[in-house]
Amino acid sequence: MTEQEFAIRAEALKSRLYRTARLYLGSEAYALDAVDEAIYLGLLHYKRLRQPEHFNTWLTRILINACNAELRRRKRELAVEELPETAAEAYDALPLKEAVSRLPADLRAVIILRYFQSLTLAETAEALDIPPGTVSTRQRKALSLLKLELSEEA
Amino acid sequence: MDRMEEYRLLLDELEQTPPKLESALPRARARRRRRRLSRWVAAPAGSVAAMFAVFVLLVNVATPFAMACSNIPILKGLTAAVAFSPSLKAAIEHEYVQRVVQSQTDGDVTMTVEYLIVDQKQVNVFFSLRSDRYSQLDGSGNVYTADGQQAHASLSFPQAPSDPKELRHICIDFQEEDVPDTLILDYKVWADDNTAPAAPSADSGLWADPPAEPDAVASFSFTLQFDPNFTSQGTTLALDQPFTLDGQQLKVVGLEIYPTHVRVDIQEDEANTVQLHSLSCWLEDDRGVRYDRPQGLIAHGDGGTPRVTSYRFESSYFEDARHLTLHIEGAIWQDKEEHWVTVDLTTGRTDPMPDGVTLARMDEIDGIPTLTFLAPTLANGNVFRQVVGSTYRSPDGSEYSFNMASHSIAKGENGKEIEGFFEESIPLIDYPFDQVELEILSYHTATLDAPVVLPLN
Repeated sequence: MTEQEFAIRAEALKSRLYRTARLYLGSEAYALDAVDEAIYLGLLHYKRLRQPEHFNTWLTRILINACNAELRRRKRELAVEELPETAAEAYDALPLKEAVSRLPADLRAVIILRYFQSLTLAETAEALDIPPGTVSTRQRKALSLLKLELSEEA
Repeated sequence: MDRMEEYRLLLDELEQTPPKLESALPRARARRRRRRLSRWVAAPAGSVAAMFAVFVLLVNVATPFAMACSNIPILKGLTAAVAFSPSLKAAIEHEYVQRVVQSQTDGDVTMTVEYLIVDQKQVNVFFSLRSDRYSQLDGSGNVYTADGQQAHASLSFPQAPSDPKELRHICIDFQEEDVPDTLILDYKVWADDNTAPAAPSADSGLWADPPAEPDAVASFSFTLQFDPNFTSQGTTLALDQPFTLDGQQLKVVGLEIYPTHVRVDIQEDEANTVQLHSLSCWLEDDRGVRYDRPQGLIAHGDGGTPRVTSYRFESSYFEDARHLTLHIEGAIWQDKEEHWVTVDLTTGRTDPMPDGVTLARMDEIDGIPTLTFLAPTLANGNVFRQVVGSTYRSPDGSEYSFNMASHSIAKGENGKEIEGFFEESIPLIDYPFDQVELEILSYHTATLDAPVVLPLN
C-alpha cells in the first residue's frame, strides 16, 4: 500500500471512525483525539499491513485500542458505569445513546461496530479479534438489552 | 418514540461530524514529521548499541583533587565543578578554558554562562543560576546548530551542586560529528521548592498515574560561539590490532585523543558466539600513568555491523605520553540466544522471565505505556545493563522498536534501595495493542586467566 492509497482510504473511513469513537467515548473532543491517534498510528504503520483488503478492520482495530487507552486514562473522569446484562429494566429507562454507552464493554464494542460503523459480522470479528460466533452471541444479547429490532445477518 | 426511531435519530446525529475531523490526516502527517525529526536527532545518541553500553553509571570513584588552581581567582569557581574529572582538571591547569560571560534573566531567575571547555568532540558548559525567590533550582536543556536543527549530540547533566552558588556543568558529547563553530543552548529551569508533591493515585491498578511535571519557572536560550583553536583540538589514529578475549575475536580499530577524553574504538567479529556488553579496562602511558574510565558517558556504540564501540577514558592529552597501552581485566558478554516473553498490558501477566528479571510495574506517561523491569545488577552491583531487547512484537507479528530507555536504582515500597537490583523502564511508543512480545536479554561475566595487555601506539 502506498501513502496515497492510505490517505484515500483513511479519508473515506474517517467519518465512520468518528462515529465509533463518539459512541465509545461519549464526547466530541475525545472522539476527535482518538481518530487523530488512529490515523496517525495508521500513517506510521500502513506499510506493515500485509493484506490491504483488511484496511478498514485494521484501522478500526487501532481506533478501538486508542479508545480503550483513552477510557483507561479517563476512567475516573468519565464516571460512567456499565450496567450488568441482567439490568434489562434499567436499559429500557435510558435513552438509546446512554444505554449503548453503559453496555458491558464487550457487548458495546460489537453493537457499535455492527450497527453504527456498519461492519459486517465477519469484519467485526476481525476487528475485535474474536470468533464470528462470539460476535453473533454478543450482538443478540446487546440488541435484546437495547430493545432494537435490527437484522442479525452478516 | 420507540427504540428504532431513536436509533435512526442517533444515526442522523452521528452523521454530523465536526469540521475539525476534515484535517485529521494533515494533523497526522504533521505529527509524523515532528516525530521523524526527533527520532532522527535522537538516533546518534540512542541507537541500539549506543544506549545501553553507553549510559552505564560507574561507582563514584573519588579522585583526590589538589586545589592547584585555587590561587587563580578567575578559575576558582571552576575547580569545584570539575573536582571529579581528572581530564577537565588537567585542562584547567593548562588554561585550556574559554571564558564566556553571557547572562540572561527570565522572571526571578538569572542564568550566566561563564566558562567553556571545548575540543573537537565535546563541549563542557559551566554556568550559574541565581534567584532571590527560589532556593533550590534545577534544569534541563537541549542544543541546536546555528540553523536551528537539533544537534547530533548526547547531553549529560551532572547533579546540581549542593551549594547553589557553585557552578553547574553540562557535558555535550558528539559521537560521529565534530563540534560546530556555534551551538544554541536552550535551558529550562525548575524550582524544587515551587513543586507541590504529586497527589497519590486513587487508582491502585497496574496503570498508575505519573506524578505531574512541574512548570518551568524560567527558560533561556544562549548562542555559544567557540574559538576554532579549541574545536580543532584532537588527534585520531586508525589501528588494526586484533586480539582474543575469552575465546571471542575483537579488534582495536581506532585511538582518538582529545583534551577532554580519549576514545578507544573496539570492533567485534560478527562470528563471535556472544556480544560484548562492556569491558573492564584502563589505559597506561609509557611513564606508568594510569587513565581510568570517566564517570557518566563511558562508551558509545555506533549501532552498525560489525559493531564498533567507542570506549572513553580520562585524557592523556596534557601529559607527555608517547605511548598508550590498553589493559583489559574483564568483560561482560550478552548472549546471542533469544528469549521472548509475552506481556499482557491489561493485567500485567508475563511469561516466566530468565535471570531473576521481573515486571515491576506499568505506567502510562503522556499516554505512552511504559514498562518497568526489576533486574539484578552485574559485576558486583556496579553495572546496569539493557534488560529488554530494543525490538518488540505485536500479536499480529508486526515489529516495533524503542530507542530510549531509562535506568535507575531499584527501590522497594518503603523507599529503601533494593541492593543488587536496578530498574529499566521502556516506553511502548505508538503501540496500539493490549499484548506485547519482548526479548529478555541474558548476560554473563567472563573470568580472565590473565589480563590482556595491548600496546596501542
